[in-house]
Amino acid sequence: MHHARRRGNRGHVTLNEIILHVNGRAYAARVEDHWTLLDVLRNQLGFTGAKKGCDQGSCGACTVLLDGIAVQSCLVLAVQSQGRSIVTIEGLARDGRLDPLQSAFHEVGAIQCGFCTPGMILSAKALLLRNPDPSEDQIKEALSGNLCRCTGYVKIVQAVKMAAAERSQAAGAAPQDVALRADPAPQAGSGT
Amino acid sequence: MSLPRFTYTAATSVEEACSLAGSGTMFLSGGTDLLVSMKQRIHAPARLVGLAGIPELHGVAETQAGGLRIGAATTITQLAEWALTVPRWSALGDAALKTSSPLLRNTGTVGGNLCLDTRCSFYNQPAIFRARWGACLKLGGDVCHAVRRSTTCHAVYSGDLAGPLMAWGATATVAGPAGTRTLPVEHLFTGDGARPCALASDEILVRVELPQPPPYARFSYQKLRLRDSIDFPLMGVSLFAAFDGPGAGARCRGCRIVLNAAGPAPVVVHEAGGLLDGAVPTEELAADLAPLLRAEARAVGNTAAGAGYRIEMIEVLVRRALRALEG
Repeated sequence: MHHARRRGNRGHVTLNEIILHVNGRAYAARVEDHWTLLDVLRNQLGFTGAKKGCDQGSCGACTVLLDGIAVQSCLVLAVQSQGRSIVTIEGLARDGRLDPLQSAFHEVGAIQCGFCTPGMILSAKALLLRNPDPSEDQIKEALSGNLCRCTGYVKIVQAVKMAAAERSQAAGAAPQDVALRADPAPQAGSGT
Repeated sequence: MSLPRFTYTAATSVEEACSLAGSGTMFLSGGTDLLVSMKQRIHAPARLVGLAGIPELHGVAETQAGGLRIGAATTITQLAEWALTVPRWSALGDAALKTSSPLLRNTGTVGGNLCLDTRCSFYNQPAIFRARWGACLKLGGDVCHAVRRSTTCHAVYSGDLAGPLMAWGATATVAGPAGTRTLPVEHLFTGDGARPCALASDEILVRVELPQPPPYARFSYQKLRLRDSIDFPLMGVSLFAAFDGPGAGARCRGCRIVLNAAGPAPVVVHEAGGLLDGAVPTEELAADLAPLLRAEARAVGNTAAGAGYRIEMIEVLVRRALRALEG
């Protein structure tokens, strides 16, 4: 689904008005074609949970879910993200309750400096959405594009295992999961 | 690192995409390589034409003839996940999983990996480094920093899928203003590190097609890289062979061996394939095959590992591939 792009001028810069569906809400943003999704999430919409690490697709700190798939938002253009569901770390908690992955990372102590954590959790989220009961090797494979320079990988893998186990115990009573589809009739949000 | 300013146009058909081509325009598929090189100011096109919204470029499906058709904008994850569910294509899925990292495979496409620009440790660097060294052959200068006095560019073709696809005998269908043409995948490559892709600037890769595999076909792709979770290949060996029966002891009846990341283009080593014909593959054959592959390698000191090490590793990769084919 594509939204009409209205062009306006701010000095010599051409801005496109686009709608981005982030964490189940629609946000209006005025962007240039060459702005990455990461920069628009952080600088325009205030979703600073997506981190800017290497900014060239090597570290995974900027990982978000795009239509339920983990991607590096530093290598996606904002204008390419229209009409797609975007989930950032801010969108995982529901009604004030942390996602089981977030709780598990907290409980296990899978966080050191915390910079890689949002990307780690979102890569793990994408894994559990497709494979609710992954093996340790599958967890390591799914997280292999996310670098932790504190090198705390053992506890991160433990946390994903714990979240998967809790999830399978709670199967059937699982709360509504993250918004994986863009709302077809969005309400205008409070984007800047 | 911000991207240089450009105009983005999302093409909705192959014809539209080709018609938008022109000076200063580049095609954007997954973007996992092009956007990085734009951030490094290696490329600064005035316009990017997005290919992801073209329905014709998507999808993986078996053909009526029993082959496999892969749309160029299919992500590498989509290819791997599909192929791993179908036993006779699962080895192709395994090979696809050796490309890059899971996150980059989720965005990077089959066509983008095939048309990947060549890489060199003097070229894939931020502008400040390149300015210090001066423009090389690939950047329009007249010097090669990797091989002094060389008049040709030694940048390395670093795609992963070309080797496996060439070993399977795949063809590529290319669209341009004059219509479509189909060519063997190996003809997508010029062999010139500076201009590695044989497509014209107004042509796009539409799909690749693999023929029906012969009975008892086996395949292995062995890849050398520093970090198994993410890196480009430093050397790659693909081995595809048909056999006269199942299990151990079956004889090879037709074989193709491809070397990739050994120079500016992936190369089918016909002599090596011929040597294996009629043989029962065993690890010991690696010693006979490796010299034929080494003769085709053009490794120089412009990657993350030394040329000598990469050349030495050819025999190791061949041995691993033969072991995988033993059945």
